[in-house]
Amino acid sequence: MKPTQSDGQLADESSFLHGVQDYLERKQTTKLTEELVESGKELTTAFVSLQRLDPSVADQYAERLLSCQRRTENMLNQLKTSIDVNRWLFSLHDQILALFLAVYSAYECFHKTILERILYAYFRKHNLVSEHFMLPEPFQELARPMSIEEALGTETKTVHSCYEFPVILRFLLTSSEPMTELYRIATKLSTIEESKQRAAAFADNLIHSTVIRNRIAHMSERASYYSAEEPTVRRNLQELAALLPLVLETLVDLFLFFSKLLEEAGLQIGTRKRPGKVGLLECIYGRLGKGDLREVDDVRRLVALAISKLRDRPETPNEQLFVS
Amino acid sequence: MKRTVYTVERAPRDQVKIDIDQVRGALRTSLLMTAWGDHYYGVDFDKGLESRIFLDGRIEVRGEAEDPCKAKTEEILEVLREALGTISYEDPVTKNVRFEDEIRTDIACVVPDEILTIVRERLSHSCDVKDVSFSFRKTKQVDEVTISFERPAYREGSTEVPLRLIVVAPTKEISGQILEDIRNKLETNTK
Repeated sequence: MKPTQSDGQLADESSFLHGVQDYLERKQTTKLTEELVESGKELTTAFVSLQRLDPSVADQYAERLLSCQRRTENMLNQLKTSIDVNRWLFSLHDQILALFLAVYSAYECFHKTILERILYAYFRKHNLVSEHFMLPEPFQELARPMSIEEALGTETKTVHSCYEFPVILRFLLTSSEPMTELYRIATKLSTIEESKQRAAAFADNLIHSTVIRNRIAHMSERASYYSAEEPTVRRNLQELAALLPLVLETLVDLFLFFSKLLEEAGLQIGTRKRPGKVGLLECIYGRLGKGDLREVDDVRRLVALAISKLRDRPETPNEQLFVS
Repeated sequence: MKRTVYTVERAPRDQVKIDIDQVRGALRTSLLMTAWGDHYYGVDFDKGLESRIFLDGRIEVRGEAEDPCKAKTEEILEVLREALGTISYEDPVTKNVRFEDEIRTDIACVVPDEILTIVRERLSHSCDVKDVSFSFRKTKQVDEVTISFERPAYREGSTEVPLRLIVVAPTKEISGQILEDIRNKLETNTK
């Protein structure tokens, strides 16, 4: 049951909603969502052509981003046409919350499937991994010698896993010359010093975006967040609307920067994993690496033998796979 | 659409060190301000004001009228004082005034053909001017004037195009006069 309002209160709400609409338009929110769709598409298209992403998954990702764009357009249209303020205030609160969740869910997909892989490939190509710190999954195979906390001088504090990606990015953007130079090229800045400063601000904003995501996730799990009390709804709407353009802008910057990073990461055309035992053994074989230890080479030889046997005769029993 | 935006700043007095992060809870509860980059950020939609508190303690408020901006700096300061105790701040000062207006002009009046030719040769013959920006600074002074032309509706091949002209200057008089002069000049040239 929504509270009733006097005419004066309704006029206040109408001006409040007009303020929200004006702000979102001034910050070019619609344009930002278009850029998000375009920059995301660039990344998925590149991954599809590298055979590292299934076209159907790429379509799903594109659909997620398009859904963010449609939600934004719907919300702005409603703000333009809202007459019954008493009704729209609540509806807009729900819409903007759903929009944030959609934006973050799209970020999550890109982060796990595309962005982390580009960063990982870049690490390997430039031998940055062991120079700096120990990496989280899926980077652990090149782990050494410092943890993130050690690298940042905060040994006593633990960095929560959702902050690892932005924290690593910030550390690299400000401490690795090639990365800072790449950011300079991507953002068309003239000096390395300026690039360092802007790159740090960009990475800070990504960290802050993660803080906002966690806050929304935390708050939106509380029943009180959905209170029909007008001040609560208004407050939530005010906070979310103020932050929306900032979060969108950060994600667009992130996607654009990673498109540049992809050019430098040297990712080769991927090989599709085979299902079953052969796929599993090929995966193990790929991770064994060539080392100085004779034992590793022996294991590699045996795994290669097992793969070859399974390719020739898929029904080969397990006990005969590793026998010469 | 014409728009004027004032930026009002309020700085802590010398020697005052403020740890804004220490009061992040109060900033969010009382002012709905959130950490963002090197500052805390919040928007008051009722008053149409954007507020920032920088990590060095500087308060910056932007809005379409000067007095509400000044009043907002006082409101923010009250919250800081409540959380941090007595702190000493300078009086609010208007840092700059931004004037925006829509104009129609031939893009060649803004970007000389010689420059456009170079870019087209180096980049692509089909490329066209999007946004243009100029900055001017008085020698040995911090006063700056920025003039920019944004092209929101980009249409390939058109010569006479709608542009958003933006002038940011230290005072309302200077920015208003510069904007008016530029508009008159460009629109006359186009005719």
